[in-house]
Amino acid sequence: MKYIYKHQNIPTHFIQTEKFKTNTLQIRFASDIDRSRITERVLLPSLLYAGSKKYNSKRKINLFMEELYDSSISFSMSKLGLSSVITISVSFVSDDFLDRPILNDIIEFVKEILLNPDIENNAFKKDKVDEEKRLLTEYFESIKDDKTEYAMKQLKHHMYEYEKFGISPIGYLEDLDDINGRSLYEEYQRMIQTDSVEVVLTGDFKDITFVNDFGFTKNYQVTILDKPRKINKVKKITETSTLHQAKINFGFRTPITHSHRLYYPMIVANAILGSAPNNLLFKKVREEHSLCYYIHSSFIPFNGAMYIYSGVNDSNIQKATKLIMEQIEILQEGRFDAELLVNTKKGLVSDMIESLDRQSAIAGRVYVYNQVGKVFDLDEVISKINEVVMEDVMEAANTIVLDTMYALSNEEDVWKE
Amino acid sequence: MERIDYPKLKETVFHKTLDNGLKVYLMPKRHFSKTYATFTTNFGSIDVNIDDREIPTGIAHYLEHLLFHSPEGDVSDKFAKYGAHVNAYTSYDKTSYLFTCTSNVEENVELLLDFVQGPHITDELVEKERGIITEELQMYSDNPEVKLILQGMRSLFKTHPMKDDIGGTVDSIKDITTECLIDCHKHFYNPNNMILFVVGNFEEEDMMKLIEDNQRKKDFSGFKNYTRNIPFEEGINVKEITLNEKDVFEKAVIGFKGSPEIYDGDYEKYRLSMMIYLDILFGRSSRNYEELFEKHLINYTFGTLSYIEPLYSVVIIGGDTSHPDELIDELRRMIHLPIDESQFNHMKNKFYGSMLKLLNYPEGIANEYTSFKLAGSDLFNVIDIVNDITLEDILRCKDFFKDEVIVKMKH
Repeated sequence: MKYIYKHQNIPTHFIQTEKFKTNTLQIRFASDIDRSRITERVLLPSLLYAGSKKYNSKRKINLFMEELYDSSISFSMSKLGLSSVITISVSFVSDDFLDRPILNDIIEFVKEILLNPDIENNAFKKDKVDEEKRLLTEYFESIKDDKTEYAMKQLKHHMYEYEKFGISPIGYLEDLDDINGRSLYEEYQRMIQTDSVEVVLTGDFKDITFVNDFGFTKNYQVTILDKPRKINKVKKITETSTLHQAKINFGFRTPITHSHRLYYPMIVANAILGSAPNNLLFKKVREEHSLCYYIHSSFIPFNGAMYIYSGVNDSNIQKATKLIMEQIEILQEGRFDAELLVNTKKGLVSDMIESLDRQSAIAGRVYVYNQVGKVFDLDEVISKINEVVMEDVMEAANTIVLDTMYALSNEEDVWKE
Repeated sequence: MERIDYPKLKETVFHKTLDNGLKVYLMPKRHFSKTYATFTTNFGSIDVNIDDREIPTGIAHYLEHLLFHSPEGDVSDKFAKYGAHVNAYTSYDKTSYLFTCTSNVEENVELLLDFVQGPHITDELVEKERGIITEELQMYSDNPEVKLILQGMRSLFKTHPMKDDIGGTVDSIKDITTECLIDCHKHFYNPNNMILFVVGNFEEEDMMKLIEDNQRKKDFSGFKNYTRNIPFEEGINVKEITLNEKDVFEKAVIGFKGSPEIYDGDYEKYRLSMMIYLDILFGRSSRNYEELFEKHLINYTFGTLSYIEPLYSVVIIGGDTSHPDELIDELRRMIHLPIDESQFNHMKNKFYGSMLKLLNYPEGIANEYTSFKLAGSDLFNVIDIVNDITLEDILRCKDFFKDEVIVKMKH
């Protein structure tokens, strides 16, 4: 596997490898996240997938892609720190396995879908816009079906109430009335003409100059990292609902972000606490006290945050919370087996190596590192993880401060003292 | 050791059935950094009898949880020493234990064999696990989609074990005892009821030797033999039912089941034909799928769920909908429409591509290859089988859709 960087009008990252039977092509459009445009940014990729002039329906697009040996194309908008990234991602079987080559068809197809949308009078067509609005509305309405996901969304909503970082990556229901074919076409123009564009290729391309033909030229540094915040008072939220299992989620802050000297120690600290095999939370709350089935923590390096989430019986909320907070203290004071640190680092290194066996993970890592101003270098990442010692973990862990406690429960006000 | 080449796919699998009956499949993929292994027993939630005794619903899944305990503690700690991740899952018809690693492949394979074959089941551990599994079941019972599918199975089957949730219920697991779990291990974890599949970065000769040496050291004399014999249940249980749930997105599904007789002696061909049939009928490139969107009856949650297994088959179609009644009316109509025959060759191309894509994922390869072997066939031969499938084979699937059950979820 070889990483090749080329400027083809725009930065083009090419991970050359024969490991896979497919090639992937990703085009990513980044711009600063903006509350007033976010719902348009969510709808825009769906409208591109709804059809171009030549392939003017989802069905025609699907038929064309399936015919090319089940190639797949996806359109999505995701939040990367403080930026909004629209990704067009295509995966297709390498020509080596086919009687007829398909690479050129794929490239022409991507150009068509991306550059020749099905518009009239400078607007996306009304029936298509209405359909995508319907689908997004139904998606909003269905989120509560998955209580775990819903509770995560609510934690972030309360934690980031007044922050740009809290802008919802799925958009807002109340925006939909004011969105129409014209406003979406304006957003499309903005994306094509002013977004910062990069391309990531993985697989076995013989020649990558075709990237020039897309005609994109804009590239600049978008803001990814947010300034870490200080906490004045812990927010305690209880939302009532009828359920068999209550959800308890916690949001924490730390000044550590991607660019911080304690970035790797914080990754290790989080893993020891709640993401490595047999982490502190799993061992105590699940294995020792049988209070839950799932419990995890995750570290968000874009704004300096950490989340802990679990599902427990209503009657066990206080007990589980107490145990969770104790595990954070144990982490901060380094009162755990040194072997856990050693094994956690091994696991993180193995995860890093393993991710290079997945095309989407490679492409994602290369892009994200580049966006935060670093170059993804596996050997460097591994040695940085290996260098982390107990004192670093404790130092990183001691920056963690509780920000928000959120419960979805049958009972009211579960955080009352 | 037998060598099986798949030249079209540029892949090779090595196979050996060991003296104790364990079937071993090794698939070296030396470009990959990781190795993935699954150790699978032909024991799932539908196995509810040992000889003539009934065993509690959900016990296969309970045993899966219990095997992670060893006298030295949680087995994931042992894997963690090598930076490896270990996990497991239980389905209707199998239990699979697996790990992913990027180093110490041989040590990890031994750990996998040893913990699955060396149970450490004590009263205290059985009790502790009950709380954890109860929370797992409670988590699923809060999920309306899970409820809907479960009702679909209950509507299709009255006494057949497919009617029950894989994990059982909070009540049924109360009856699970240490003795019963140990007994299940003796019956269902006989090596002759199991498959080991290893894919990734290793030397096949050394690996096979290690596995053989490991197995030779163990005594399986107390193990019993099990032959799955679950008679098919004719007729449906509940024709139509509406579940009332506040605060959910409304849903509707239509379900069908079929007895093994419909396979006409060629199970594998039928299973693949049905996959193609359903794809032509309701797949993402079908006219029906497009029409259901145009009528605002479905969204991206719409799909088909099918279990075409040697002893039974089930197809469930549906998803979230703002109009459950209208969706069901349309599905009832569409299921009997003639399929678009021009899509037949299209689907063969699609199938070939999806097979090649699968080969990028060691996890997918191991799981699928094992499933096919348990059903008596070979994953990588499906390309040839699909090539031999005729339009008549596909059209034959139409007969499957006779007695339907309907489940709606409304406010």
